[in-house]
Amino acid sequence: MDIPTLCGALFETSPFPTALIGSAAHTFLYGNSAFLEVFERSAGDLLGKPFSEVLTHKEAGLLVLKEILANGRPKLYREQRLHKDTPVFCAYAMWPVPSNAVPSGVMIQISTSEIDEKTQAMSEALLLGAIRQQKLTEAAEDSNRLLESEILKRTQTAARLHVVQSELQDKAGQLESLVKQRTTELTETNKQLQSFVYAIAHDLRAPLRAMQGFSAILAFEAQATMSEKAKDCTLRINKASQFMDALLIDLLTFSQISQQRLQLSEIKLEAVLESVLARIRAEHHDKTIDEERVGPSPQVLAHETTLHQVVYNLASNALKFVRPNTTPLLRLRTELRPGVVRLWVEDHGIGIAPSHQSQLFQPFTRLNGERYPGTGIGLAIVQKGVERMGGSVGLESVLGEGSRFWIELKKAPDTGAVPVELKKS
Amino acid sequence: MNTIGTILLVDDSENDTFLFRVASEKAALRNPLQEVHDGEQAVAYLSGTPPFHDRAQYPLPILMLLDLKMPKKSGFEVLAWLRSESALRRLPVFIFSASLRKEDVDRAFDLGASAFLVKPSTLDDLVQMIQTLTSWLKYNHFPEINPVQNS
Repeated sequence: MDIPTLCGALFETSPFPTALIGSAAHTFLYGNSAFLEVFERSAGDLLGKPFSEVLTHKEAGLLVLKEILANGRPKLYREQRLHKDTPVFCAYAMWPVPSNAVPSGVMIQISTSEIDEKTQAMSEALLLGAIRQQKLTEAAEDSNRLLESEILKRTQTAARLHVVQSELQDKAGQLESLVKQRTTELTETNKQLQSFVYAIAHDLRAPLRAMQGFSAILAFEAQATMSEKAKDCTLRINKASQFMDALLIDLLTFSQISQQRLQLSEIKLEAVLESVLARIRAEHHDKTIDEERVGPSPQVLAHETTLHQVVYNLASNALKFVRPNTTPLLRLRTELRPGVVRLWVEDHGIGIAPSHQSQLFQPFTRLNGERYPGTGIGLAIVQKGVERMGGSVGLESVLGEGSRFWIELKKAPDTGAVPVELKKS
Repeated sequence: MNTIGTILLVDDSENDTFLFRVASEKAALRNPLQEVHDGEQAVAYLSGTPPFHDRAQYPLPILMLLDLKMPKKSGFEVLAWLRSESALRRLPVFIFSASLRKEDVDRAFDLGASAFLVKPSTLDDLVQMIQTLTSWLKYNHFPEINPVQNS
């Protein structure tokens, strides 16, 4: 046989499906028996038809054909198809049929291989993987969408919060300036009240001086000519005006202590106790008093004149509310406690019943009425004064036996005094 | 020792000046007492303005007891004026007031007061205070004060 005939026979008998496609319109020009068998078509079906009818993935296959026809180089194209319900891999070896310059056709030789179990499994696994990936992707996208909407909600809430916060700040600012304003007004009112109280007390004391003075003169001058009853009346006038004066002085003191700025400094407690005792001794020079001084002599953080007033009032009370036929006792006892100094002013006087102890520090409280002297403001002054110095006050008492009043003041720091200013309360 | 120098009382309350005189008697204060009832009169007295130009009747005082709260001119104003008057600047001035205010005490000494006495509430206390005054008059050495004439 001659070579062309031999080649033709070779192609015809080749087990590999082989076909020839014409360049023009990609028409099917020839297919060997193997080709027709694989594609389950007869020659009559395919001859003259476009090759795309055969292809499973039309576009891809056509692109390759066009590529080969264009650049004249062979190419290997792969696809997967079903052959009698069995998936197979097809490899298309395609080469241009030579002609002068432009190929006139493309030879296609197909080799197939069955997909083995391993490959099948891999393929299935890949598919499942892809499906799962798809599901995960979808889930991720859903999740993302939820997150985005959540973020949006949060952003909106944050924005609203911001608005509310700035409104709150405004309101706070308004409130603060209102408070400042009211405080200024209140301070001003307090000042005016203080001046008013002072002016009244001052003006009231003038006629009192006259009443006291003239009734004293009357009692003295007219004692020869006055009846006992008249003298008694005169003395009562005298006493009453003195009492009212004492009341006014105490009220003024109380008012001042409540209002003044107190500058605290280191005070030697012992010095204050000494000066109070000196004053007490002078006032009670005609009496016998049991004086006792017990305990350490620390330094306290206080205001000197206020402290003097407080201790004097307590000591004075100790000698005022005495039991008949007993020598009055005045004991000043100091105790050191953590950070504070406690001063006890103790007596053996008439004592105070527990039910009365709570009202004791109220102004105008005189538990024994007029039987014992006093304006009823002394302890109110003590409490206010101690409070303004940052301390506290209290008492222990047994009715009929005596009382133990105490005040607690801050201990002065050991290293140099730092004056502390207390503002008006 | 000055039992003959005049003490000038400056107080708008005639009750208070009356009581002062009664107490002075009890305290055996020998110095003659003159009184005026407001700040303007005090300035006039010290300046020698009529009717106070007659120094026989209204001698220049060796001590002034000055109340604070008065009409027309307050004690502070009188004190401020006095301390600026070159001739009378040295005159001892005791504030004699009912005021218990710390600010008043401070201000008085700022303006040059020589003492700050608080009016006692009882006649007895006033007598005691004037007794102390007599002791002071006994021991104090008084400055020379030339009457207001040509400056």
